[in-house]
Amino acid sequence: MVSSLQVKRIGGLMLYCIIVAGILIVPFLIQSPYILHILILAGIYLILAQSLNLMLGYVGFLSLAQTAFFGIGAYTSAILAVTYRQPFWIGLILAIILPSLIAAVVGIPFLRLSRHSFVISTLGFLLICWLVARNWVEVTRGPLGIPGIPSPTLNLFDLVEVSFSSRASYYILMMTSVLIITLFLIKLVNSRIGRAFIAIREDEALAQSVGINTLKYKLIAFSISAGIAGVAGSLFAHYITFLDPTIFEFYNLEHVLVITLVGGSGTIGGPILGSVIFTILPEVLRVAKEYRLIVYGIILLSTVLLMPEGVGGRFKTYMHKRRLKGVYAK
Amino acid sequence: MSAETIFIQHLVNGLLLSGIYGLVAVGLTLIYGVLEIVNFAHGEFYMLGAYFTFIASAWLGLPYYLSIILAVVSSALIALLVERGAIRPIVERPFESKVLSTFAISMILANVVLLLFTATPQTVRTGIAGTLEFAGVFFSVERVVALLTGYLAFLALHFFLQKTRLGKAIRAVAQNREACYVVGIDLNKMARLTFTLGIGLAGLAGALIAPIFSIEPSMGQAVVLKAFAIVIVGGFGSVKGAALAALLVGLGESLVGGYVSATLKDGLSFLIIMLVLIIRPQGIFGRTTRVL
Repeated sequence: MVSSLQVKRIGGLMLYCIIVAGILIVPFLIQSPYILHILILAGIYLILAQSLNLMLGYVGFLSLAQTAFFGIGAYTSAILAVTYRQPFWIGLILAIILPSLIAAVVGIPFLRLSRHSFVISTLGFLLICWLVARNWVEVTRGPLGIPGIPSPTLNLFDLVEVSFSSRASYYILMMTSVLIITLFLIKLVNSRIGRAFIAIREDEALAQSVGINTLKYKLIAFSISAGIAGVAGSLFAHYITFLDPTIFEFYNLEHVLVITLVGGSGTIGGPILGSVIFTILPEVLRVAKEYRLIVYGIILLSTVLLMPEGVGGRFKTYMHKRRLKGVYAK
Repeated sequence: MSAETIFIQHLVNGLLLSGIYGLVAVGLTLIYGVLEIVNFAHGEFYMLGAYFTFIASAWLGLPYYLSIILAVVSSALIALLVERGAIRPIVERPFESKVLSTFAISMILANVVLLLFTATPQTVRTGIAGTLEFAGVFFSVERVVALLTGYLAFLALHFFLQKTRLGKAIRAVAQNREACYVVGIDLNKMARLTFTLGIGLAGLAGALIAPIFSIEPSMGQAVVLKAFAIVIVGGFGSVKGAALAALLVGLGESLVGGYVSATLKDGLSFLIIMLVLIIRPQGIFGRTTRVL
C-alpha cells in the first residue's frame, strides 16, 4: 500500500522534475537570442530579489544594501578575472565570501539598531560603496569601468572544457544557479534557523525572551543574503562583460524592490512570481526606461497601499482559507 | 587672496549650506516626530522647489521673490495631495509600508521631473546677481539672500512652534499621541499640517539653492542623505538637535571640501551617519532614551 502522503511526495517530486526539465529545455525550443537575454537578466534579478526577500520577508529588516553587495560581488569577480586572470569559479566563490564577510562586519553595528535606523544605515552603506567604486580608481578604474570581463569556462580535470560564451549555455548556467539558490532557501527557511528568522520578524522581544540569540540569527541572515546578492553580481558581471559604478544606481534597487514586494515578500514563490511578472510586463508595455520607472513607482505605491502582502501572499492566504473550509466541511 | 579671506568664504559657504540642510532636515524631523514616518521622498520636494523656481523665473518671467513664494506654495500643494493619497492610508501600518510608500513617491516624482526636464542641469537666473564687499571679502548677492532668508525662515519656524497654539499642538502630538486625543487635538489635521509645513520648508530650501547651484532631477537624492545624517545626529524628532547638527554638517562639509578633499566632502555625511549610529544611536543631541 502506498499512503496518500507518499503519493503526494512522489507527485511533488515529479512536478518538480517536470518544471526543472521545462526550464532547462527552453533554449533548445526558443532560438531567439533576445528572449534568452531577457530570461538571463530575469534570473539575475530573481537571485537578487531572493536575497532581499530573505532579509525583508523572513527577518523583517528592510535592507537597501543588497544592491551594494550585488555590486561588491560583481567587482570582486570582475577584478579577479581581468586584473588577476583567475578562472570564473574562483571569482564566483570570492564573490560569495567577500560580501558575506563585509555584511557580517557592518551587520554587527547595523543590526543592533531599530528597523528605521537600519534602513537608513544600509542606504548610507550603498552610497559609500558607490562613492568608493567611483573614486578608488587604482582598483575599480572609476567611472571608466572594467571592460572585457571574460565569459566563464568550466575546466573538468583538464578533460573537458565547457565555455559559457553563448546565450543558450549562459542561460543554463543562470537557471542552474537560480535552482540551487531556490532549493537552498527553501531548506533554510524551513529549518530551525529559518524558524528563528520568522520569530524575529514576528516579535523580536518575544523571540529574545524565549532564548533566541536574535543578533546572531540576524547576522546569519544578513551574511547569507549578502552572499546570494554576490552570486547575482558575479553572474551579472560575467554576462554583461563590462562593469562600471552605475551598478550601484537606484535603478537596480527599485527594480528588485518592486519584484519582491509585488510578488510577495515572506514567501519563496513570491519573488519568483514577481520576476515572471516584471519580465513579461515591460516587454508587453514596451515603454522607455524613464516611463518604466514611473510605472514601477506607481505599481510599488499601489501594492503598498492596496495589497501589502503581494500577489504571492494573497494567493497563500486564499489557499489557506480554502484548506480551512475543507477541514470544516468534513 | 589671503588665507584669512579664503577661510571666511568657506565659513560663509558653510553657513549657507547649514541653512539649506537645516530647512530640509527640520521638515524631516517634524514629520518623523508627528507622523512617525521617515520620509524618503523629502529630497524630491526640495528638488521640486528648485524646479518650480526655474519654471516661475525662466518660463513665467516672475521676479525672484515671487518665484520663491510660488515654489513654496506649489510644493505645499503637492504635499497636500500626497498626504491625502499616500501618507494617510499608511500612518497606522508597520514601518516597511511607510518606508516603501515614501520610497515609491520619491521614485515617481524624480522620474516625472526627469521625463519633463531631462537630466541636463538647468540654471536659474534671478536678476539680483552681483557681488557685495564686506570687510575686503566678496560675496555673491544670491548667496547672501539665500543665507538670510534661510535663517529668517528658521526663526519664524521657531517662533511658530514655541509661541502659537498650532505650533504647540504639533509639539504636543510629537510628545504624546494619546494625551492629544484626551485634550481634543485633531491628530489627522496636525499630521496634514506638519507634512505640508515640512514639505514647504524643503521647497523653500530648493528655491533658495536654485540660483546658486545648477539644478537637476537627482539633486534631491544627494540632499536627503545629508538631511538623514543631520536628523540622526540631532536625534530623531528633535528640532533644536536638527538645527545644531545642520550647522555641524554644513560647516564640516564646507571646510573639509575646502581644505581636505572633495571626495571626503561627499562621503562626510554617510560617515557621520555610520559613526553616530554605531556610537550613540539616540543622536549626539538626542535624549538618552531611545526614541527609535
